[in-house]
Amino acid sequence: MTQANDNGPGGPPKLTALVVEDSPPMRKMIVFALSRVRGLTVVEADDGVDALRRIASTKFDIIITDINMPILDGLKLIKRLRADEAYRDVPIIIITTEGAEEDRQRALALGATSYITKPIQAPQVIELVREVLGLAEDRR
Amino acid sequence: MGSFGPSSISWFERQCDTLPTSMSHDAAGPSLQARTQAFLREFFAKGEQLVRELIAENDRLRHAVSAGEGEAGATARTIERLYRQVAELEAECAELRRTAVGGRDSGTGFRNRLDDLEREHYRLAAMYVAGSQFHIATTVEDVLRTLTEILLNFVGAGRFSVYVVDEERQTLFPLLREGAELAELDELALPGEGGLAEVTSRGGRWTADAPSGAEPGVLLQLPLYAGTRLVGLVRVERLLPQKAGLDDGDSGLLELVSEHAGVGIETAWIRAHAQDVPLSRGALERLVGT
Repeated sequence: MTQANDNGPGGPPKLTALVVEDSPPMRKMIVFALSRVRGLTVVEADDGVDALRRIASTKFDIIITDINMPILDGLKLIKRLRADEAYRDVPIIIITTEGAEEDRQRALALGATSYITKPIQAPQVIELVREVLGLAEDRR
Repeated sequence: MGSFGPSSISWFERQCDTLPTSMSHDAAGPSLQARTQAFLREFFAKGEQLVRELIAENDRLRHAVSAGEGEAGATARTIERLYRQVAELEAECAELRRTAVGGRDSGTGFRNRLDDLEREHYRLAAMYVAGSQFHIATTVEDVLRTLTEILLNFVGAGRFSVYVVDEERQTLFPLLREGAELAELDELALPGEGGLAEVTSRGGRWTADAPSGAEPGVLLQLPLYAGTRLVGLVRVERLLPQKAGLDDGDSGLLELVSEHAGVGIETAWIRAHAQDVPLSRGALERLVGT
């Protein structure tokens, strides 16, 4: 899913986000929330493998990923991304549950930038992404 | 200083004029009279000079006083004008403060309104996503997965169980549990008692203003209906630790789950038992009566 980008001269920077989540409702809500961030184009991936496929063809400015996913989970994805020179410094936000403290610590140790706890609240997602990307508040 | 003036000078002038202008001399030099007259002449001349100087000083001081009084008056007027300006500026400042406070209140009002709209926007988006997911679910497994994701990730229910109706035995049997062991649960006889009876006998979907069916260890019981057919039941036992309580947005989602999950389970059940018949124009036209 790709959001229209209506930036003009002097407008917000054109950035691209990748949302990696195997749960369709969760993924749709995160994409919906991020569609409210002006200048941000959002791409979806069903799981870690799908994410790597999309990363091969597009350079993303931020990645939001679930931890528990089939085939290639979020932790392995972070490890792969941080081993890639192009993604060494790209912000990675993980989606975790409140009780998954161990997963959260492992993800942060592997190089995740920050985390969102389920149940997700769209305004918090937007705020965190804006903060990580250094974007000013600007509602669509 | 008022004791000196032109009359004083005239007096000295008259005294000088009365003195002889030439001195008589004797053999030994000027006489005593001549010296006295010279002395007096010099005395009155000095007196006249002193009086002139005093008058001049008096005039200068008068002018100075007059000028001082003028300056003081001007200063007073300036101070008075400045006071007025200060008062005007203070009034203007107070007005600006009132306007600023009003503007801030107005801005805060708009900001709160915008936040309310954003929350409503997200609530509707969550309901849209949940509804669309139930609609594309074609199997009971899909429906249960969607149900779990909505309750866990959108509503924030940390522990809940899903029961489905066994219509032949008139029981609700546990089919899924999140946050605890399924095997711990027993079947529930219909129509049940207490909170269970309240929600299973209502004949329609759950609404926030209806009895919640709360029981010991159960926060609320959500009947799953397909129309008026009771299909199942969700028992929410506990919310996630970070979830303080249910709000209006959660209630909307629970109402949607109560209706759409029930329809989803029924539809998936029918689909699972339906004969696989290819779509055909004749059959479809007969269905719609054309």
